[in-house]
Amino acid sequence: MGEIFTNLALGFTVVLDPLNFALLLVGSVLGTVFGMLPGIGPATGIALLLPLTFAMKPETALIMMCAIYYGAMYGGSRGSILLNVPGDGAAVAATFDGYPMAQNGRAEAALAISAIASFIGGLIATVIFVFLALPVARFALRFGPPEYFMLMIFALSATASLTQKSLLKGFFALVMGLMVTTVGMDLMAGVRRFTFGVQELQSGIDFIVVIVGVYGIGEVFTNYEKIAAKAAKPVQEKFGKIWITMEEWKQSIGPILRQTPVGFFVGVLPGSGGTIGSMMGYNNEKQISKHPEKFGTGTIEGLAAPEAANNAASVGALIPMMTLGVPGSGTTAVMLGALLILGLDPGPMLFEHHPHVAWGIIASMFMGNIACAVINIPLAGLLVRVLSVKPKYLYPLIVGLAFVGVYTINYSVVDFFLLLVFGVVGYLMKKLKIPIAPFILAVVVGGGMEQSFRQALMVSQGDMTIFFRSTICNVLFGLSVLSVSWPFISEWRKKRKARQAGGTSGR
Amino acid sequence: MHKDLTVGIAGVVISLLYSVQAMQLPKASIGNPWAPVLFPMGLGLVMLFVSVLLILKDLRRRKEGAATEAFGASKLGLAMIAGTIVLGIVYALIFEPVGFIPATLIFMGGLLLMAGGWSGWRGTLVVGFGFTFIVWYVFEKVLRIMLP
Repeated sequence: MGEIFTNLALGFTVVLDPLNFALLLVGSVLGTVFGMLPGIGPATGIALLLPLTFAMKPETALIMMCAIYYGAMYGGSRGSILLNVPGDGAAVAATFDGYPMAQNGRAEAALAISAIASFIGGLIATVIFVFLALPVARFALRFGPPEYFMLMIFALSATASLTQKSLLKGFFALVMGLMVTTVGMDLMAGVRRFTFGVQELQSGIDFIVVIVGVYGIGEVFTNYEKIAAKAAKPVQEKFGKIWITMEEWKQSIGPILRQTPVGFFVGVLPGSGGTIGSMMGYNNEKQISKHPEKFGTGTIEGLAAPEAANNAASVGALIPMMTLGVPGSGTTAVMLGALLILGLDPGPMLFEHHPHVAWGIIASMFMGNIACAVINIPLAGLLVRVLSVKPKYLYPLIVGLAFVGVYTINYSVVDFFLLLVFGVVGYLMKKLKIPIAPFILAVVVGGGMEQSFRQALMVSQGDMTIFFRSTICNVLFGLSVLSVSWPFISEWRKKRKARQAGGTSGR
Repeated sequence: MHKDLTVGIAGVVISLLYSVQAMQLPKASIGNPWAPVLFPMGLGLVMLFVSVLLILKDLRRRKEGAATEAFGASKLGLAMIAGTIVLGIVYALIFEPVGFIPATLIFMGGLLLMAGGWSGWRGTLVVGFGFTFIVWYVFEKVLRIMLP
């Protein structure tokens, strides 16, 4: 217990360093703005802004990146409320009651409760995080190469089967991502693989290029059609006081407190994250509500619940990323990538070797949440003007930013070509409804996954049974099987329920 | 054509090409000679398996008479994508020879004109020059990252 507080105190001294704190504020504002822009969720925002952090110290860079992450989570719902256009998947549930509220002339209350719910959800989740982080990291110290390989199998298969409806396409995306990571010099044997004689490909394809290409450029490509397709909706720009009444507060606090833990634990599980967390939060409240018919017509509980769950999930998602070194979502994969670029070893050793970084990030979650709440309540009226940026300026700017950012990774224009290739890949994936998160996740963890696989086989001299020798391995294998069969199980349960319902009504 | 069928066929092609390439990879001179090949071979097989399942699933759905989804892309959208790719290639070719500022002005100018046309030329100029100089200033002066 005392240990946690000493560590937290260390973390706060890191965050309250003037430069770090200033960049935390900058990150929160940038994140909110990027989160608001339609189609540019947190993953794209962080990927596009990543190059800004290359020249920074690791803790400073990560504090800023985390601030961008929370900022994007707060900002994502602004578009949901005012335009019925969510900034990302996690903000979809905020459209259900947020947009009707704004239509009914209660935009101020909607903006305020979404920020308040996000704040409380994020804060409580951070407290849970503080108490869970060390035990999980200590447990993970027992992991060797076979355990890590199985853990990644679990994280990847869960992401592939949970992110979208199509399990097969999830696996398709996953394997494609792993294939990308096999390009380049194989560090363990010194063999060149899939480089097709291109000198620059020897060092492999940088995952930042893939991420910026698929999320950033791919997003712009998908949106190009919309530039001409429909004129931009006008955004409400004049607001009264952005706050809520006592009555609205009383209605909202219950849903917020109930759905925060739900969101958090959904966030910890790989593959689910904010989108499922916020949907579950919304549905749970609707089910237990005394007047479920009001949901969807602009009731404040219907906005408070998903917003709290969504931010709690975003904090929960950082647990596997920081303590195990295995991300569970597209966004945390990007952040893991950032950790790797900064030369840090994510996972349990992060807490041992770089406590100021690990605890600095944790302390920054508290400060970042406060900063985002301040930015999103009093300044909301000002910031939502971002929503009226014309697409004809927005998309070229994103493309420009993507190109410049990618150049600073390797100082090579070869990456420009790769960026375009992955932009097209991202576009096709969206058109063909192939989920992107498993692809990104695979690209980030693929290299480490193959290394664990080969190290394990080296230890066992080629005996595959090494992957089934420890309890941890077997549990992880069981969980992987369960996650893959989950869509079938839930389908079967739905059918059974429908049959039962049909049976009783038929009588 | 239905989306799943397209994905499945593409997957079969990718997995076959990839596996053939993987088989031909040079073997390691130290340790197990097949070590660099095992993981890619596994990936090729899984991809093939998943793709065949996708094709079968789609064919079965077709038999049941389910409606097929069209790929659906507007001509304008595709033209703009093609335009961006061409501009990107030009940018890559001139970036190092002519330097960051002129190359970026050309690139951004092209993108902005493509997205907005000539009508809003004032905005185009402001955004194009603004972006180029702000990025140059932030990278070169604030972050001290050298641009050509």
